[in-house]
Amino acid sequence: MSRRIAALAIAQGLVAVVVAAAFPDGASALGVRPEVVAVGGCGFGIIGSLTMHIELRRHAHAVTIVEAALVAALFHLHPMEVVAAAMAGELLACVVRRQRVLQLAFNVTAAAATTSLAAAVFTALPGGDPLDARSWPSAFLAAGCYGVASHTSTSAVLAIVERRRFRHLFTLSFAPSAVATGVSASIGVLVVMQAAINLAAVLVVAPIVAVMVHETQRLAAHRADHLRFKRLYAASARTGRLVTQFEAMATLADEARSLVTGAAAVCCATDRTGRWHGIVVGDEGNRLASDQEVEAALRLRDAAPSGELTGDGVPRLLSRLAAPVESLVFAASAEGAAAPLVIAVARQLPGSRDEARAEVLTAFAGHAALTLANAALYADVEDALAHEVDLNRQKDDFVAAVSHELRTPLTSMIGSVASIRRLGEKLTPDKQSMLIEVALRQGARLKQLIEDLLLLSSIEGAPKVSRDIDEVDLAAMATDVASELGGPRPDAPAVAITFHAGELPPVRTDEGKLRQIVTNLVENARKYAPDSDIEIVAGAAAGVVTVDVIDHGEGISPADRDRVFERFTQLDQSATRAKGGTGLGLYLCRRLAGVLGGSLELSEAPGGGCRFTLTILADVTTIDLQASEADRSEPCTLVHA
Amino acid sequence: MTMIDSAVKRVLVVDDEPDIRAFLELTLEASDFEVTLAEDGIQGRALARSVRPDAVILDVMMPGADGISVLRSLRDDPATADIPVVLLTAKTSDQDTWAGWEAGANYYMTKPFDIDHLIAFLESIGNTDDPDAEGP
Repeated sequence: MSRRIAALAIAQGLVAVVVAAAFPDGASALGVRPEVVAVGGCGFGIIGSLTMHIELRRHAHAVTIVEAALVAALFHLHPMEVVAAAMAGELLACVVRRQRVLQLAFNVTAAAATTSLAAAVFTALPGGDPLDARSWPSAFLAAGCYGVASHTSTSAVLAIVERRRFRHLFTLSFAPSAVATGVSASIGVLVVMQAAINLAAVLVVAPIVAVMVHETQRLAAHRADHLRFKRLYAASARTGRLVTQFEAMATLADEARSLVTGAAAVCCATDRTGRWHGIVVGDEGNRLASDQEVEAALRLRDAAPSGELTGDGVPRLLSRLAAPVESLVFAASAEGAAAPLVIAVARQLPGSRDEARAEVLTAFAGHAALTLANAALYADVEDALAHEVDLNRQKDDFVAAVSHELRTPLTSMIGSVASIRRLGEKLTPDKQSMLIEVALRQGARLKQLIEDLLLLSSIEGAPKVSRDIDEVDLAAMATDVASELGGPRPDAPAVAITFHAGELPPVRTDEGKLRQIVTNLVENARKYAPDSDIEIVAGAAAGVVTVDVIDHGEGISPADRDRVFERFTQLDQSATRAKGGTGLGLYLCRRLAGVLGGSLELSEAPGGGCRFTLTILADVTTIDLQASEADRSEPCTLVHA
Repeated sequence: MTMIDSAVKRVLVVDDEPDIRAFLELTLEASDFEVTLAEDGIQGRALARSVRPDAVILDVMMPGADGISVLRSLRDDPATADIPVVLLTAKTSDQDTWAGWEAGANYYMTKPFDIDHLIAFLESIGNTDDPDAEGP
């Protein structure tokens, strides 16, 4: 980009040299009076910096009345002096604005080329006496020439800097710049005529010009304000319906970026856990802000609620958002806003002390907070709905599963009894007693299922599970369970159930529930590992008591270990049914463990088999039951019908 | 006694629930059927091909191959396509019932079912050729 601007500057310099060489008495700088150039330079500089604003076809254009100075100079100074004075004036203006060398070179050569063209036209045409009307067209033509050349040069450099099409830029502001040239040239001719009559008469024009300039600047400021807020409302309207947080953050950053004409922007906001995140939007697209960038943005907020930093004031991390950064505008949502956020926009255009940008961004931040709060609310509602739908689905599944589980034993019961009635005398006594056995066995299974369901209901359905907490002698309880369940059964021989324990602390818990868990686990082991001895091992660690129930049966593959805790999951259904399982035992055990402030896990026993490890709090009163149950966030799925 | 009754009907019972198999076997045998038992869908499919029963009583929810898929494969095989099949299921929703009929069930009974109805259906099989035939 710089090279092309430099080339443009060189071309302008060449034009100036060639044109000046064609001046009637040559390009000799010998006749140039330094004091005239100095005074003329100041004149050009001051008048050139009086910017006015013209609004045409919804576009505002900045113009100057420098042509007035040019016309005055053309009548009174040597062409070479005009060029030198214009160059000096431009140099002065550039130095005052602290422009870079390249900009300075471009502006000064532009002044040289355009004024030399104007001077050449003026000298080639008749005139010289301001009071002679024939010289006025010459002055207007020269000013017009200057205007066109100047507009061409400005459009060319803008096309390079803004990467826009030259033709578009040229035509876009041609009309206002022509109007400005005409007006300025008229002022110039007027001044020259006045001066020819009496030098003091020039002062008559000064107040008119001053008022004109002031008024257009005031209008321009109004217009800028109006546009800013129009853009703010448009941006707010566009972001009002955003529903996901990250989408909202990205769009807010993007809108903020265009709102204050920035190159890149970062929008930081908190997620539901209160953690800050940021999204950076730049020409390369969107990305997540690094933690350091987010911290830098937060430090800005801590220093001031909003503002614009320029030059070295921009934090180093944020200056990398878009290189080179000229200024950084930032704003945070007001304290107590619906959603806290910080927006920072890096600009590549010169910053200013003008606070309008920070003000607009603050207004936008207020709106953005609402948008983000909206998005968060929407997400909450969506989650709640999904949860509700999931609960309903689980409820349906559960009802279907319960229905199936109830119907199965009922089928055998009713079928057996109906067969006895149907066949009557045809049945031999042993067949009859077999059918009665089936009915009784399935009746017992049904009873167990109903008991499990009632227990499940008491855990899941009740708002608060009642616990009967007392001092529990864990060793005595486990020994009791072991002796109760170890005996021979009709379908299985007696097995050895042993109990080992180290030093046990006093345990305060619900004995009934603890006994139920241990009993279920031992029953489970007897079902799945009928020939294996069973060990119950109790131990204690910081604040908790563990009870392991270990068998040496076939064990359960790691992939299936979690499934055994699901409701109505029977890994080997035929085996389970043959033994009258309900499919709820282990699920209930785990839930009961939760009620006692603990957990139940399955791992492989040393040497093969299953090891169920129950971990419960040594003193269950140390936790708040409601909280611990809420943490599990297990849906309540049992239907009370 | 009609001619058809003179041949003993063979019934294949496919159910994973041992007690259901047990009382069906006992009751059907006492009602003069020849009963073959299968514990799951895969065994049931194999037995249907080898035994060529006169009717199949098929449970729907079984581990491995479920009743619906067994029924479909029976219908796809010309050797077993015409065997009457009674689906037994604890599933009661319309959707499940439709799936059963669509797969080609001849009769659909939800658990707990009426053993008298089941036997009446089994006895009616094959009697359509002889409108005068009556049950016992």
